Amino acid sequence: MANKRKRASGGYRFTRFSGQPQPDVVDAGVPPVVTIDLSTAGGTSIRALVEEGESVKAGQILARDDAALGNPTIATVNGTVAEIRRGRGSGTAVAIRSDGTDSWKTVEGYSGDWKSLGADALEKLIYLSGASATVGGGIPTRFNSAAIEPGQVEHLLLQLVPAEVFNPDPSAVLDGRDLRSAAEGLGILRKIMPEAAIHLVGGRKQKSLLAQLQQHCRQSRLDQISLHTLPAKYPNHREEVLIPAVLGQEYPHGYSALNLGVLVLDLQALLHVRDAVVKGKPAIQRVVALAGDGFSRRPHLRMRIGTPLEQPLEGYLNKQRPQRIVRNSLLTGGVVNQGVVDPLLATLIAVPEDVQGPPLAFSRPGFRTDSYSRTFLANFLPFNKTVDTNLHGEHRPCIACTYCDSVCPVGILPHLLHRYVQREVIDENLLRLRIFDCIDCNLCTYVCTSKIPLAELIRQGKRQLEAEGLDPRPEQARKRALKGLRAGAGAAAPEDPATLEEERT
Amino acid sequence: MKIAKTLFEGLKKNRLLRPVKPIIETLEGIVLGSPEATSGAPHFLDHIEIKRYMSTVIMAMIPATVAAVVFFGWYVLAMILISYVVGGIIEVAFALIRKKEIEEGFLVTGLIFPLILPPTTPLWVVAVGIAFGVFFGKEVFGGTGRNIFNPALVGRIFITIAFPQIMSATWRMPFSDVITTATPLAVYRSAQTTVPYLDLLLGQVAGSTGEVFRIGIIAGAVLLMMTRVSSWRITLSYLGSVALFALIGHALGPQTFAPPLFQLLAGSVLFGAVFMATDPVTSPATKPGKFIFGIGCGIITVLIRTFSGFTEGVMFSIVIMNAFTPLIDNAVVNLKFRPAKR
Repeated sequence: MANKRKRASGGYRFTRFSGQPQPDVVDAGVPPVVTIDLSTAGGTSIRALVEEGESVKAGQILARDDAALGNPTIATVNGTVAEIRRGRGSGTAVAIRSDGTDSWKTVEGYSGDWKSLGADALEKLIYLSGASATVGGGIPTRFNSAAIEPGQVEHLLLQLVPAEVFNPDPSAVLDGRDLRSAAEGLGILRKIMPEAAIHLVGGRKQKSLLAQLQQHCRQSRLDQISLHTLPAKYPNHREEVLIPAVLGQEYPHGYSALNLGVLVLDLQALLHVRDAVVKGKPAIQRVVALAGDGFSRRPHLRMRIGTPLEQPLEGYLNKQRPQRIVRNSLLTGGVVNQGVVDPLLATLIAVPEDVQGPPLAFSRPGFRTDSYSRTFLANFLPFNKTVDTNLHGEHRPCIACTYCDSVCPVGILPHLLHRYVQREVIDENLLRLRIFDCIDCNLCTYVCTSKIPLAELIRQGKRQLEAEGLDPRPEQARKRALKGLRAGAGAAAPEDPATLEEERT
Repeated sequence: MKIAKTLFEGLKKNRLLRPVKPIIETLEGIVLGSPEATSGAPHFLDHIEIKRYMSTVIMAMIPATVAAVVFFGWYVLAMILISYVVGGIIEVAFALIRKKEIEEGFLVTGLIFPLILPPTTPLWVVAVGIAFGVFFGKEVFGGTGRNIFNPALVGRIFITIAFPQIMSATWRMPFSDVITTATPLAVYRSAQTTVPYLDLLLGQVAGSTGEVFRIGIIAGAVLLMMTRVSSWRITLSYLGSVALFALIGHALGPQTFAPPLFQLLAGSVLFGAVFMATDPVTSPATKPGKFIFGIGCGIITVLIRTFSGFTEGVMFSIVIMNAFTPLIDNAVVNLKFRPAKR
């Protein structure tokens, strides 16, 4: 398949960082209390189906709204509902006091012989088990779980590119299962999405694993499976880069892969699907990689969704220094020191909060310091590099070293865009400079010699342009015949721009 | 470590020292390192910083600098000192007026400037030149990052025009006190004879202090390109176009155009292409722009050397191309990012 868009040469390879997760899996046990966020159930007013004091089973549905775009939220421990917190948006949550037992309620209708089940039964299992909530925009089912219908999915991408600084280990994510389970998962998804071509995408190191998976798929007579390798460069794992690179399709900024008819999922989501259908196991657990030097031991932890992070991490955190705990990505993730395990959590990174850099930092040989420039010895020597939160320098005016332009994965010019935004010249010219192509990967901010928050300034520019009505999304939607733009389907995907525009005029 | 921290905290709080706070903060930044942490995503940042960036350039200039002192004596060190002191005063004064920290770019300008002067330049001329360069070449534009022309070259051109006798007629051979007017380029112009290439490489010819030890400059070039601090696109396209243009010229008019290898090694082409044309602030930011810039520098250098009253054209070629930098970048950006299709 020819790429319609020239692949940008940007991106950056994060290699040899110390604190990589170990491949072993440790069960964190059943926590005394879990807090489940109900907002994934969708709709404007989310109502809990349980009451305070009611006893619930792990796997029981806590909230569900089939009319609205969203996925059911399920209880992840056996116990009693301690509190129902009401709030706006993600504020609605249910706290369950666990009784300590580690059993769960199986989802009705599962079967080891899943091939005998019809698409409707499979979709129901995926939906009611909560497995469909383990993918960003949801896995499409007939229950309004994602912006598009299962039949509209044309491509299914299993994404294993280890592009982050720290990536979960696929063998740990498999957690005792073998690749046949993953192949089963793909078979199940193919059955409900018969039009979808399957693409297995990984870095060069995942090639043999993916080839094995492809072999298993062939044995179970799954056709139309292709294997792709991408350089393990950040952010090659993001759908905005994957889709142009693998499918040769231009990515419509402001929309999701689903709007193109592409479902991108990771190994863990695939295994949730398989477990729901084959074992009837609800998606109550996540295998989460612990990474970063802030953890003294770094296994993968098997944790119930909703577990407050403080307790399970207690024994692993290095307590000599304060640590910042970041979710999934050091470049884009949020801080979750006070957070809970959520259905999309894959990696927890503990970074020492180094407030003060070392003296004379600029003159050090730099055996363990990472830099896009090759001014440190770590670029040439095989030592592992470290991570901390220090700025590693001081804010200075832009000297146009153009590191940001070189690493930009979508081929725009951050150094130029930031100058326009800084001088508040925010107009159509920025559209011409393709400011909306920016995918917020933050790599420009990472490499900046002058410590300028380029990505944040670009976001500022985008926000202001949108506020001025210079939003390219309605035109995108008109030109590209995007899927899933029906009214009311705007919770996971951005708001329907067509209606937005009507309101404006 | 802790003592230093308390000391700086105390100095910063001192009321009497408030006017010189930028100086204190700069010293604190150098000694203690960055005190700031990231406030959100991205949570960790590249270790490159302006101090590291500029020190790498200075490191790359060390071979040429040491050779200059060895060849032409301690006087060169005095020139460097004067350049740093006078330029530094102006830089600090502006930092205080602007209430911003002192910018590290000056460390490079202050070293480049004495290295592109004849070894006989009187110290007061060095002082006038660097003062003019820093003031009119950089500060009037708003400081580092906003200047259009390379500040060291602005200073150099000013004193070349203001003191032509001093700046072009009095050169010295290394390890000798004999004053000569004969730089290799001047010799070629009058007699069409070239100096042995090995002498050029090792610096056994007359020339500006820092430009003669060419092996050292090449070593610096390798360091700068390897570390991604300077753009190989500019350096190589500059040198390549000098060679190509000289080759064509020499083939057509061997009497007028010097041979290509001689053109590359003589004069300040190497020093200019490695340390001055690559100044990120005053050269194009776009990749095609860097090639255009380098090629333009090369052609203008050969043209000035061959047809003008000056024997060397590197300085003018870079400043002329500096002036075209915004235009080049603009043209490249306009070609790359066409107006949105309607």
